[in-house]
Amino acid sequence: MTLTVSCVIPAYNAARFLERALTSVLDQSRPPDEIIVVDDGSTDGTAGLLAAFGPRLRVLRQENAGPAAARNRGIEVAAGELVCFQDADDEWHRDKLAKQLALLDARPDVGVCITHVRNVWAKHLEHERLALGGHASANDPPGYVFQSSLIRREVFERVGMLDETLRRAEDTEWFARARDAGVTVEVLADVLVYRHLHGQNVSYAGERTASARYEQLLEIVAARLKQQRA
Amino acid sequence: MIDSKDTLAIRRREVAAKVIDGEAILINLSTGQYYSMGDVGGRVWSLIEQSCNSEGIATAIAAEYDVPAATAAADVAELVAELAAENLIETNGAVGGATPVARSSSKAAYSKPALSKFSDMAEIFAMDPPLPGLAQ
Repeated sequence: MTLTVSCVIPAYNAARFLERALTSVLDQSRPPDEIIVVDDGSTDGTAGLLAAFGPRLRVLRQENAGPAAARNRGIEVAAGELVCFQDADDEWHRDKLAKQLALLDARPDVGVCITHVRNVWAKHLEHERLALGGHASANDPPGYVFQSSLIRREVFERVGMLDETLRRAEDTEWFARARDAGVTVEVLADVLVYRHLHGQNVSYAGERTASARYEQLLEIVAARLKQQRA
Repeated sequence: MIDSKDTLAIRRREVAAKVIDGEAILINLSTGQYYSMGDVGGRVWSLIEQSCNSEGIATAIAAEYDVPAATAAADVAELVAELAAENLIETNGAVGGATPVARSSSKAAYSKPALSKFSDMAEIFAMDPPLPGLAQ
């Protein structure tokens, strides 16, 4: 039995790299059955770029509410039995969906399939990559992020939707919740997602934002500890 | 081996830390492990944040909690050694350290500070690189 797949893509002022991201989804050896792009209140050329793709995309438009909210709106209207996500900056290996589908088809006990991710630093951020040295993030880590994930729809009922109050680390928080809910997450060993870091990503734009992300991680940990003691 | 007079410093390049309601919560972004230290431990961490040394911290703890000075000194030394072993703190080469800013004058009940360590989020945190110059 082949499962149907919806792809949800949040996009905010994404005109610079969005075409590359969409192309890598459309060019999949096994493409998704529908692609839902949620324009999160863009003020650049994103809308026009999406229109140029025509009926291949279903576009939702909303006032800016952050990537978590944008993904939730996409999940709510998705018709597929499985939901995957792409980020407007990123690229997929041609066989990402095919390989993940094969796994979920064969393993009904698995709720989420992720892949390894290669972080790709832009040239002007080379110093950052070098400073990281042997850290996991510079060595193709397992991708506990939405753009690497293929998720059964019912998992969202079990775990809940993304936390819209989080502008960053919303994936970390959701995966922690999924783990607590006992969802089986299977990691494919291959690098099938390329995560582009160019300093203008929501997570990486400037040190102030990086500090804010760490603040959010600390809050996630604090909530987790509180829950474990309850 | 950390001497009680060595100024202590948080390894800001790799550690995200916050004291929330008296509890110190730390994440080692290199390993993905996270830690918690409640009450007395949280107070010790706050003093390390102020660049105190073990001696100064022990004096403050003995003043603020119902504990003999010798016990405070031994427990603080033990906790500091453990924090260093986990690569959360280091000595910055200086000797001396700041004078702790005293808290309220009435003594609180004491319990030996402990460092709790968790590895269950290590893989999930691996996506977050410790960016150089982490401190604000």
